[in-house]
Amino acid sequence: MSLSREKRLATQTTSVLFSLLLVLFLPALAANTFGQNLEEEHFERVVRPILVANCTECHGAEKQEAGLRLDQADGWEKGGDSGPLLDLSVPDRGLLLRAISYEDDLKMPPDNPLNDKEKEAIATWVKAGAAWPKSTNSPVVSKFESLFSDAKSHWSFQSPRQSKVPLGLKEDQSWIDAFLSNKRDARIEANPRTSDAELIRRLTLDLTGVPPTFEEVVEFTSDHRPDAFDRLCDRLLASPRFGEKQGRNWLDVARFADTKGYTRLLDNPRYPASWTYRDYVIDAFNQDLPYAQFVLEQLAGDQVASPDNPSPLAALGFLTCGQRFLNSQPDIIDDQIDVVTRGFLGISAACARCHDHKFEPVSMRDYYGLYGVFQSSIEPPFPPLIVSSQVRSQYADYIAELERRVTEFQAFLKQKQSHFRSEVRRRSAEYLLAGSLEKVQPNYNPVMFLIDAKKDLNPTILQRWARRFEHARKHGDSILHPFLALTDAFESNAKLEKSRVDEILNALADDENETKPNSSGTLTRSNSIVVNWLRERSPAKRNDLAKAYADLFSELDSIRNGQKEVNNNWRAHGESFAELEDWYFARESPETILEEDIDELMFVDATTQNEFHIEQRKIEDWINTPNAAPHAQALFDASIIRPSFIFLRGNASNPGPEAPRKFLDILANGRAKPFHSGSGRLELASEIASESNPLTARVIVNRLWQWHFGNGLVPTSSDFGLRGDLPSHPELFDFLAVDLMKSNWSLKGIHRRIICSAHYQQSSLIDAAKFELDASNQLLSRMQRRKLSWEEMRDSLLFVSGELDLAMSGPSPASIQDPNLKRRAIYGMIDRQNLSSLARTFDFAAPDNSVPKRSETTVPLQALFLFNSDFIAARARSVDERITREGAKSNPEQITAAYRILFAREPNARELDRAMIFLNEGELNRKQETGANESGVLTPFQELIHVLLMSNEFMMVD
Amino acid sequence: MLNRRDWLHRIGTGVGGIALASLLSDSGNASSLDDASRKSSPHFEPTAKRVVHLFMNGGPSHIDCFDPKPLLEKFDGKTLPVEQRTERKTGAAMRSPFRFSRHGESGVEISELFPHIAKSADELCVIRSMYADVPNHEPSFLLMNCGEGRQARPSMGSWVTYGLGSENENLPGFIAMCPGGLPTVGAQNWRSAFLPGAFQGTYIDTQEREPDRLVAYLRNQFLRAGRQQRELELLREINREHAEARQRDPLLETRMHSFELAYRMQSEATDAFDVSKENAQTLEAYGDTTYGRQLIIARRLLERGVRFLQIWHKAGQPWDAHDQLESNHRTLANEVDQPIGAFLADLKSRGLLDSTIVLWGGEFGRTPTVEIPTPGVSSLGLGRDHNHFGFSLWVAGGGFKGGHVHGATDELGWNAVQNRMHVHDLHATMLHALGFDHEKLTYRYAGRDYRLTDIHGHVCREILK
Repeated sequence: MSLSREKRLATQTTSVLFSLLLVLFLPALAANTFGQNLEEEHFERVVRPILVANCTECHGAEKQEAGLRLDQADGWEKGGDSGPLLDLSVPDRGLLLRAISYEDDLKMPPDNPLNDKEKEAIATWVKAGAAWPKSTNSPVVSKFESLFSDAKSHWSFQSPRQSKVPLGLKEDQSWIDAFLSNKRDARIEANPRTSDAELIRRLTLDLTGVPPTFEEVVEFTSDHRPDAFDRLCDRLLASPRFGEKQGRNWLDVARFADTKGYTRLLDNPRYPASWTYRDYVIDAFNQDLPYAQFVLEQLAGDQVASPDNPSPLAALGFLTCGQRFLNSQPDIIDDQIDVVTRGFLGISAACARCHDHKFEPVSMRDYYGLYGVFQSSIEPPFPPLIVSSQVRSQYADYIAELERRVTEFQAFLKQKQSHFRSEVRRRSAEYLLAGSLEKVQPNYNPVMFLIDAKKDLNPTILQRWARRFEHARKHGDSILHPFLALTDAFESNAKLEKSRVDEILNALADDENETKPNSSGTLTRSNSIVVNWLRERSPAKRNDLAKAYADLFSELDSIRNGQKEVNNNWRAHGESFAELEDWYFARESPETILEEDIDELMFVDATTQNEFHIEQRKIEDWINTPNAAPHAQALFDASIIRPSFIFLRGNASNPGPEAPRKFLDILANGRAKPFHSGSGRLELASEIASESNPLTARVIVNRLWQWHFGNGLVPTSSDFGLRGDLPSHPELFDFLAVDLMKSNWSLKGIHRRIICSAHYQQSSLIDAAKFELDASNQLLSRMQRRKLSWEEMRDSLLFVSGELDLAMSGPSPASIQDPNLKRRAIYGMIDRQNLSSLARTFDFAAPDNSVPKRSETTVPLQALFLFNSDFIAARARSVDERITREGAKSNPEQITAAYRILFAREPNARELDRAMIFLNEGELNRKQETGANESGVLTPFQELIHVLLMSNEFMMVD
Repeated sequence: MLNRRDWLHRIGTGVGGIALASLLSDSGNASSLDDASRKSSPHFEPTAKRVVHLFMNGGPSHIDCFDPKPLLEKFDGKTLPVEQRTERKTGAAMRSPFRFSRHGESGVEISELFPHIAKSADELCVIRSMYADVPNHEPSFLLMNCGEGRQARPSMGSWVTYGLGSENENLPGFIAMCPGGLPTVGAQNWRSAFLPGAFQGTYIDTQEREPDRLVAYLRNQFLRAGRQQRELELLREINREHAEARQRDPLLETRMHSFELAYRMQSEATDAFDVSKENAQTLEAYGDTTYGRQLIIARRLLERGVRFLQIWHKAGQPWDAHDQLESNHRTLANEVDQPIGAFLADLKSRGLLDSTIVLWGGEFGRTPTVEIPTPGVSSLGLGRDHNHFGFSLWVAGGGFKGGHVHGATDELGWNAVQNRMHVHDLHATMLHALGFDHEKLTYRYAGRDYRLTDIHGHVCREILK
């Protein structure tokens, strides 16, 4: 008997019953050693061929579906996700035999049942002790355990160490260059510094997302003071545009959008306050909020916010602005785990939802340790205000009306709750009847059913009853046993004679002290008060029986409410009475409705759900009025922290062992301690936002590197695990990570380090020989030329036409693809349900999941937009207007102005000539076409602008 | 100049698409790229090159279309011994109001709703043992199209174009058509999710009749005739000079080339969508209806090498016959029957059917029991609720067996019981026909190799030729 089996059994929720079986089980195993040879022969000749033919394709060395492996002894011993296979105390009841007999839900093999002969062969073998030949046993270290122990030495789980800067660092050289050039193949030296004009364009776009103006370029290129570049950096790093550009980079990682994805009924698809998270992010980058604090606030902003500084509440949008999956909690939490682990740690934990991770050292215990943290965190039904006490008075009128609406909403909730409670109690008899007949839905998800709230029973309560009955049938239940015993009798006879009913009840009464399981392993003891109550009533049909139980329950309610005294008879059966009360009022009792459950329970039918949403919407509408105060998509710790469990095979209706809330074992010296305080979110945040976490600093430094160079030092920038790429320059990488932590987690400091390096400032020239050796440019032998992103393209077009509205913050005025949106693209509304296909065509990150790096494609549909959209034509016209406004008159003046505005340079003589020819031809064409409809048609000069806007010079960054 | 492999390596960094090359188009030396990307068959010799999914959104009733259940006649109006939970409450058994008869040499049973499709009975592989996961539209649409009900996953069209590329770079490789709006869950049905945006389906509202209104940005509205060509010439020259000063970086040349393609796409796409170019006979055969025109466009696109077409009946979920099933199904079947019949015959006569998978079906079937009418809704006729436990769909062409019936539901049509086929199995089998091992057509994302069939799916070889 292996230790793991004992552990497994001990952690079962019904541990009493199982430890009982455990005792019975031991002798059976011992007996097994006799007569082994004969059995072994039977096994090899008959049983093994059946297993090989029918089972091991899915449960063998290659695949272990449901965590079960049937080609070796320890696989048999451990069983699978559904528990142990064999129950040698009552072999017939073991999972294996039930599965192959197709008795229960679990039917194996799934498509082609074994024939009777095969079934019998297996049954014979099991009943004889299921002996497995010794020779084919194999070591019992699980795949995951060995993976985990190998992973401990993986580079990214070791703390970054600051090594010595390589020798030969020149005074004006950055240590970044020293590391990059160290021991480098002489054939792939970095390129020389690029031109000043290219450099300022590159830097301005990289840091702020809009191009430099002609004047800025002239100023920089004619500034020959030694600190010219430093001052340029200062200016750009201090620009409010900096946060808008870097913030957008972060929003890709945060899979941010303003809507919930698909919603049903009247659920508001839009997050009323998502914009405050977007503003928080922009502000954090602009203020250079220390990264550790940035992390901490996005995970536990509620626990560091104060009345004077409520803004960290907005940071929680990181967790709350994901997809809502029709409000399915397991999916929402899965998404939160994914964004946290990949976003901050570069580890993918989400695979451990259904099984221990196959490639990374993340177990199901880890996953459900994090799951518990988020399960114990709740979103309030409407986003709370984030107005500091100092400025509260400015919003006095707004807040007064808000409070009025909130009061109304709470009154509505209270009324619904009490109504629901009394309804459930009132219809106890119906629930009992239906629950005893109802099949437990293995994948039950209440959101998915539409019921009529006035007439139908509540399906969640019904499922609770069904589960309770199923449990009673399998494992015994002293309160429900009489119910089941009589129901069985009714089955053959719709109405029983009173004498027969009494006979059954008398038998149950005799059973009162029986504590042994019956032949099928079920406890059959009955509670004496229940039996007596039924004897007094002699229910002769199902309805009467249910009614009798319901009356009993209401009697208990009356006693609890103080409306009735406990009668003497019951007093005499003190133990039974206590048992009955405990059963009925227990937290897990089917009819117990906790305050915090009520939303979930009420959400099951369309009518109530809609009522809820209508009331909720009244507050949200007010939040979305123009003069509203800011609110936050916040998250708080639940008032009651409940234990969380591993969901076997990821199925929420199939809970397994308890999983304490905790951090990942691999990042906690192999064994993380359980969290204690509230949901544990603050503890989790502290574990991540910590200098002792080997991943946090590395992951963000790598992202900054990628945002500047196109590729991270670790190219898989959200995957630092065993399957991720290795760092191309590990020493430099560690140096950067330590540097970040030493400089109080200042991201602007790292930006500055990077942009001040010669490698960042080198030209993007392509040398064929070098290209051969460094095609992917991982060694940075040149600067990576790049296209403008969707946002940069849009912002640049509006910027040069003089139309870009630089207003910051506030609710989104329009969608990101709305041609009339004149604000920067980051302020556009992102609808994840109907994501702009235009933006996607330009590789905008789909906000379904955290996106570490956008794809970079060049396709004709992008060119079509630039050829033909009204948006581009409008920009061409606006640039023309701007040029006219700024005083250009003659054609050469106009052309020069266009080159200055669009390319930030003067046209050369050839370009000027060519443009003149184009304009003249256009004029000629225009004259020939007189009479044609001229309205809405571009002038030749606007055509020229259109061409320049489409050109590579405008759309690419050297 | 850089060689092609370097170039691919470079632009492909972080993407890794098999067919990315053809998608991103070529940098000048067209032939080498084209050969490599288009004629390759990733895993083995395919029997199909393209897919048309005729999505009957809302869930047609299998027991009224392709899965006759005589026993329901007997039990009509009576309570059945089987009770299963679907989305809404249902009551007694309900017989089919439609007659079934055998068609073709194969004798496939088809209801009177589809007399035209029935003429191609010997081309159809009717799968009567489909099943899905839940009795709700939204997740079932997504399961059918993306292989997953709730999480964001790429649609099958995205996977197929990712794997095979387009045969015609002047047209989008994956097109979704729906007249008059979007089907339930909208653009998620043809999303590319974590695959690059270039693999998303291009949506076309086929309510529009003018070709240049069908595809966004297809026609220029602000240039005089001939000026666009002149613009392109100037752009070419400006870009060429710019690129020459930059060692003709392939990234620059790729972008230049995309304008050439876009320019040609304007005329080619306009032509492809121009139904008026068809002769009177064809128009008559398909019928001059929205759905008929939609299928004519479909055939024109297939001829031009478009890889994957999702064709929706109309916006929302029209086949969702919770009540008045008889009139609902008669009307809808009547709308699609003649066009689909003509489409099948047309593809066959043009030799396209053999290499095209035509998939017909909804996201699930309907209950053999009658839905209990919702109070307050005037009930004009009986209907059925959703049934994901068992339903039918059919596949024609593309290497699937013709005149073949696969699997069965129980005698009442409640559950798929024989040769059960999950949606994942259908996907695996379709990918197989397209030359892919469904377990190997993967994309590394979030630390995991994702595939259309997730961790599921078995290829059903019995339905392939």
